[in-house]
Amino acid sequence: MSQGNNVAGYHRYDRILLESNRRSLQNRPVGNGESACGMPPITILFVRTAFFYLVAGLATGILMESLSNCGNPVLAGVLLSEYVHMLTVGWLTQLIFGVAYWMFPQNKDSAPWHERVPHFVFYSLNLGLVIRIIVEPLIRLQDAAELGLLLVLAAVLQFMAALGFTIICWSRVRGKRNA
Amino acid sequence: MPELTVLAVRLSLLYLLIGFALGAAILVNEAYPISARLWSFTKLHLDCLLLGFMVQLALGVAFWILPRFMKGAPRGKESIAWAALALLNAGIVLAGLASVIAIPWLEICGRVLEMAGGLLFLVHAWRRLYASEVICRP
Repeated sequence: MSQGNNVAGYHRYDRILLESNRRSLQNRPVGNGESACGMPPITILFVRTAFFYLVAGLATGILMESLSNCGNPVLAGVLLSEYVHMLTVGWLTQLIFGVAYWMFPQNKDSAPWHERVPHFVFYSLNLGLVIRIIVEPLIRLQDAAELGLLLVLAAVLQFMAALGFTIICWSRVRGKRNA
Repeated sequence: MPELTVLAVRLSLLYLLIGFALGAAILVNEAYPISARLWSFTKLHLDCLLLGFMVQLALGVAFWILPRFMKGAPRGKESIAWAALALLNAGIVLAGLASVIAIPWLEICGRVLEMAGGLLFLVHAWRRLYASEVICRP
């Protein structure tokens, strides 16, 4: 990876997010002697998206409860899996992924392709989750077997995201002797 | 980071992989029914991700970042935390497998081990949860 691709240690894909981060820092009140240090751009992306899923998940909970009380428990039951996965994968897991990239020490000896993996993990996890949220209820409600391949794609994408996260974090988590 | 944290986080990453692999298999089974038996892995999928991944990662990182003592062992009695980690993992494996082969009493034993692990970690962490004399600005 050439130096030109990096801005202060971040991959070139992070440039837009870095710029957005700089703009928000300019608007942030900074007291005397307080340093304005932010978090890696990919963490911001993970955490903001995680909050989106939190709101979406809670909204789905309201919808399920309303459907249940309006005499449509079948539809509410169909949405249960989506509700659970929005909160556990979209919110909790995504928040953990984002904070882990920020918190675990970076490995200076890691291969250049490691820089791309967090972005792959982000898009893979979210694409897989969105496909699942849309397709799974359709298959359950309409028995739309032709959409089955999309559900397989969602499963593969989400597993690949977990694999990518494991590969990156495995090398970052190390004892003092190897640090 | 301390060895316990390294082990706990790496174990949690393995549980993450196993949990997502099981979840993917269950999802594929929903689209193209392979075997009805795959549904019996749902509890194991939940255990791997909620306890094996999330709880274990939280405990491992907590052991690393909670305040340390100025005198004596900086992280207190580490053996208690090691025992907690061992019990938690024994419980997850036992309860998870028992749910697959449908042996309720064995699953209860696993849950008891998980709870004992959580309690032991609480015993370890209790004294490390203290307020700083200097109040830091957020």
